[in-house]
Amino acid sequence: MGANMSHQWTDLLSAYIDGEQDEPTRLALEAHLEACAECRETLRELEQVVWRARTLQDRPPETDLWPAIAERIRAAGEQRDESSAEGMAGQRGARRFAFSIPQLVAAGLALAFLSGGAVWLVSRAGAGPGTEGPPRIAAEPADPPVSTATFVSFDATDYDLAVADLRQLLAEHRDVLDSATVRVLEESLATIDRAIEEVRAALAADPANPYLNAYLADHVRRKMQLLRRATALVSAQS
Amino acid sequence: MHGATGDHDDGTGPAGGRTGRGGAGRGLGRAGGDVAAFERLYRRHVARIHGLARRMVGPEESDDATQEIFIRAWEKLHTFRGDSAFGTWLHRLAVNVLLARRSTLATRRQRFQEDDGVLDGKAGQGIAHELRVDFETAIARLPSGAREVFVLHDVEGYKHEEIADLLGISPGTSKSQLHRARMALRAYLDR
Repeated sequence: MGANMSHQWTDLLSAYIDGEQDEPTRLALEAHLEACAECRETLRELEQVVWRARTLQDRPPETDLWPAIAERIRAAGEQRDESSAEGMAGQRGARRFAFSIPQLVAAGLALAFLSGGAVWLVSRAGAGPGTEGPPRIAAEPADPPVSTATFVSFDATDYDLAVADLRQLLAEHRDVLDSATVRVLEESLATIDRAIEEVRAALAADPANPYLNAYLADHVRRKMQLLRRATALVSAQS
Repeated sequence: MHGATGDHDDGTGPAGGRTGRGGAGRGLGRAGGDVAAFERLYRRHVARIHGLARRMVGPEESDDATQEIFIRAWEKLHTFRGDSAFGTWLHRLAVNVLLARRSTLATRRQRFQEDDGVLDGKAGQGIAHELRVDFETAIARLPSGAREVFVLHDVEGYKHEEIADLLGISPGTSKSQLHRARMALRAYLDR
């Protein structure tokens, strides 16, 4: 039998081993195998190859790979934690801002209204002591929040004292201010109080967050300035 | 067969069930993201996975590939739903990682075409003269296309249709590559 003829049959041997031939082809091949010792030997070898493949023994790597895997897992975990923390801080910040900004804006608008009323009073009565020209409280541009952690130390005592001064002023001079101004001022103070409580809660929950800290402190400072100016304006009417 | 059709408890059996249904895998849901639990899974399956990697990408890359497989498994643990054997899931992931390490589909197809001549030349001759090469080393030295088909079919128990899908080739090409690989490996049966 020629080499080409034998090669033709040999090509069928793997499919024969795997049982992938139709019956006529299988019967023809088996008839050939009975007559061809070379193909029988090839078939035997191929069957041994398949058997060897199926009985290969697995063995662990020569070096323990786990330390390197564990290190990479932990590193990835830490990285993920950092990202998650940043994301949560951002969400927390956004949530705080979402709650506090409207409040602070409301407070600012209220104080602007108050200041507008005060300006009207001042313009009617002339500039009083403590005012440096017409107050432009609501027109103050909002600077971007200071991102350095060195700016976080707003003095809560000053704020509390400022509020207390204003409240005392209101109590003492409620009769000299019109009722609408008093109402707006009280509502503004309540709003600011709630906002400041949010500020303090945020700082208590995440005291190390520099951006949140600076942002909130910056707004507290701005509200303190508003309060002080409002206090000065009210004082001017008394 | 590979994990899609058979699971043995130890996960280290012959080709009839090499991927295994590990008890640790069943505990994975409880283990969650526990690194210690994952280390137990690693210990249980590393020999199996490292063997697959060694045969698929060669001994030089097998350690790095094994690390990548387990790190990928850790990252993908949340996708393991427990409705299949962990060994099956891990094995499938390992095959995907190993194939992804290889070249692109187009390059792979090209390699299959180029391999034909190389394998024909090696069959019983080219690598046979290296008398000290054992059977496993001979597998690693097969042309990559034939090696992948041989490992997936004869060692791991995949069917030609599955291999064709994985490698982006036709079932006919898978069959012909398998035959060529078997023919080439005959010379290493006694080593």
